[in-house]
Amino acid sequence: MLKYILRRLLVLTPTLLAILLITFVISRNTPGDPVYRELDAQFREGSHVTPERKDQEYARVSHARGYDLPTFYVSLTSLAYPDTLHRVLDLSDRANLAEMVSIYGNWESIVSYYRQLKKGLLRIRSHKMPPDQKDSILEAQVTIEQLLKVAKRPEIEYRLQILETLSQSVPLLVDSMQSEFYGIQGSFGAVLETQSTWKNYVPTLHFHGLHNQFHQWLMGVLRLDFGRSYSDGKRPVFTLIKEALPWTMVMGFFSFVLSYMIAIPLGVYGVRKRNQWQDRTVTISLFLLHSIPSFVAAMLVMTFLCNPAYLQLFPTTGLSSDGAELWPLGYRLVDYAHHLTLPILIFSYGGVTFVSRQMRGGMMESIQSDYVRTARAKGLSEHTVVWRHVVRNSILPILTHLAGLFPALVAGGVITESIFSIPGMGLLTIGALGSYDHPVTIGVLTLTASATLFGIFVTDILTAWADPRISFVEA
Amino acid sequence: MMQQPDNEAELDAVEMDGPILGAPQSFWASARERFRKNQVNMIALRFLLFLVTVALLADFIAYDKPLICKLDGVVEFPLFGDYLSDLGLYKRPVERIHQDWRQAKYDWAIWPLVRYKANQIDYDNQRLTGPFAVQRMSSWKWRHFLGTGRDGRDVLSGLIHGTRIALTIGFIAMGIAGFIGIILGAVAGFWGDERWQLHLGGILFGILGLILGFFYGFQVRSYVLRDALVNGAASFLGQLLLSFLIMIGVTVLFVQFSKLFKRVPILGKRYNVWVDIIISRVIEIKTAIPTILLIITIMSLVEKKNIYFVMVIIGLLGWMGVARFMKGEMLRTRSMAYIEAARSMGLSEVRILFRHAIPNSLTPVLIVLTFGIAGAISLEASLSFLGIGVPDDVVTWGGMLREARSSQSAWWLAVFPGLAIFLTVTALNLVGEGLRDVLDPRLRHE
Repeated sequence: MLKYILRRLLVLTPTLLAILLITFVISRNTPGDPVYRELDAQFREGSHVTPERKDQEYARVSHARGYDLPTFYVSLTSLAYPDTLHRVLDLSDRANLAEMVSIYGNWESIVSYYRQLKKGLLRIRSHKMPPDQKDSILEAQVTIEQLLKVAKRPEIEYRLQILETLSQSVPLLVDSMQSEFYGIQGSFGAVLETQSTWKNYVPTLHFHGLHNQFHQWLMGVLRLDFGRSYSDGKRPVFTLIKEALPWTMVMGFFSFVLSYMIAIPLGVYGVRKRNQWQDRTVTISLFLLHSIPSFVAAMLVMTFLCNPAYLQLFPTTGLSSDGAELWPLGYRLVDYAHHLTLPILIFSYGGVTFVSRQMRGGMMESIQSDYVRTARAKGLSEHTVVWRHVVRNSILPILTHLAGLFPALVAGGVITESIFSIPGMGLLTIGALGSYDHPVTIGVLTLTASATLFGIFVTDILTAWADPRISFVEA
Repeated sequence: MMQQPDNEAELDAVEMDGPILGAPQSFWASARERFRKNQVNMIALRFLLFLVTVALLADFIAYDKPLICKLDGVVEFPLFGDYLSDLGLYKRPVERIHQDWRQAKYDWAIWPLVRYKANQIDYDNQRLTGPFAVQRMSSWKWRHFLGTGRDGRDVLSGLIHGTRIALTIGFIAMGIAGFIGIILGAVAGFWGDERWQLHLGGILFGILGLILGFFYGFQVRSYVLRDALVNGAASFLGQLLLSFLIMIGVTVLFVQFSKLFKRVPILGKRYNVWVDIIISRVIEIKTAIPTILLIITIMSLVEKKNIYFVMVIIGLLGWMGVARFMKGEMLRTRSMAYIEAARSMGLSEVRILFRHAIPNSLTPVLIVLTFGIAGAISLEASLSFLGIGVPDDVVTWGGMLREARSSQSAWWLAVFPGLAIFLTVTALNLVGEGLRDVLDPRLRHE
């Protein structure tokens, strides 16, 4: 048994790593600059903070979150790609430099072109602006800012053209900025001249050691540190999950109990009345129920049962009524139950159809087996045969579906919770999605996937333990 | 017919199994006959055909211009005019561009059944007009038969045009998923963990080739892929496919090259390639991540909403069921006599797999594909219901239900789209069940 567990663990580890790698890749590709999002509001909007102070703060967050490290243990890049690019702090600069490298392939010239741009930007930002020429100077500034974000040749040349016209037509710029503009143009010319596109087709392998973003992220995840939410007072993602999880669990627990309590007797009933009209009715109704997507059911229920225009049997959304915090415990529990009834019903009917179909299928098989015939031959009543022998033997395979319960919980929760505004994991995800709060979305995804994997592991062990027919040798 | 048995032994087996009545029936003929026997199957199938028709002819059923009309003494085809000008083949005369087709004085006109486009706003009947409510319009012909949404979009027209989107999503997503799933499942089932052996040189070169193939297919082309994504899903899918082909091509090239080293002592030693273990791990990884959550997270990476992107993602993430089923099929097929025969004739393993084993195991996959389409449609509906991935100006069933969320007294916004989703999913599931009854070889003995 121990050997079996160890073997399963051995198989589990690479799968878990792969899942973590996938979520990591997703997390590094979220749109927007994560460092910028994590900066406190005063550094993002505040005009009273000096640019130098902003840069310092940016560097601090970037370092703390490891964004100034290489991405992975190894990297497969082209020869043209510098292995020090990750030291460029500003992420949009980094991305654009990477794209330029992939087009022109000559890192040194590109860097000197970029330096020229930055220098020009600094100069023009501190430029004095007499009212009559303000627009043109601002236009020049915006053009340089755009140049920092484009990599393709026509897009750059178009903007260089604008700069040239401006530098010739605006008197102030002619004096002060012309040398800068020529510098920019010249350095881009140098980029074009020294193009080494071939370097982009030569692969190189770099080893970065443990000091990389993935390692840092992985260590964080193992300590249950999923980073901090962008909004919501920059609270740790794990705290948010910890607050949401109980509600998903409550819903999950009740709907789990409910669906098994309905489904198993239904399955048994179907088998006892097999091939009679009762069985057929049950099967057909379950089939139809199975075809209703849960959000459709939820919308119908909400329209007709939570609506003052038709029947208002249940409250529409939320967990409790206004002012319920002051009520005595008993009232509050009733109030919770009142609010949770519909969500739990909607949450469970999918499970009912699934479990009872499985149950019926499994029982149909075992009712034809030898031990059932023996039991009948002993003269046991049909009731005893079904409940004591068939059900017992058919319940085991159903329990293996427990592993799939957790992802089903969160997945189902996404819809049900967001319709009924239950503050569980699903609503947390949807809310985070709406506010582009990527750390939360990715934290939930990582945690759910890992938990599921763990669930599969536990179920495998339990099944093997409960059913000696499952060989320990084969994994 | 590809299902026709390939050799004598098979032919005998079929005749023994099947009804011994006169001429031997082909597999398809008997399957069709058994499928037709079930009334419910046929109703579901007809309903699906009806949906396909509605999807194909959506513009002819609901449109804001007449099909044919005589206006100012000239016979015109406004709908076809729209089609042609979309294709760039026709330029509408200036005076017709701002033509108010609704108010125009026609000599005569043939209108579609519903006189509204799906996302067209009827300013006279905004704010949720019910199907039975008094509607402000000149004639009953302009009625919103199933009411309108909050901004005055016609519900019936939305349902009709939504059919097109729902079915497209189902078929495209499952097309992608089916392609990937069939190939991976077949490879996993056919070769398993022991049946495919490669010499060490081949394995090493194969891994090297995969890495280099990834470099040339994806790393070098990463910006091409990114730009394609901006241009739309079709170009993105094309470029993605090209990237995969490059990757596979490089790998195959390397493996072929490694054959030169077959006679080198250590490199020439043969080892099993664990195809099944690798593919099963991939499936396990995917199973552990809740699909809807993964899709939602991936969608958050895309800054511009695009319906085709939703289809591609659903397809790329939905092949596991097909693969698992195909693997099971292949486990049966690979022990068949005709495979042995092909092998004894000296055909290459790859040829046997793609020319004999896969074509002969494809039929039952139809079952999973049908259920898969139902699943994809329902998944897309939930995504649009949550407002994820589908642009706001595209009218979908899920999107209409979403509108019902904020306007609870408008029962017609919940009932009709809900019914459309339910009926479509049910019909597909029914056809799937019917196909299972007649096609699944595992059920045939019952």
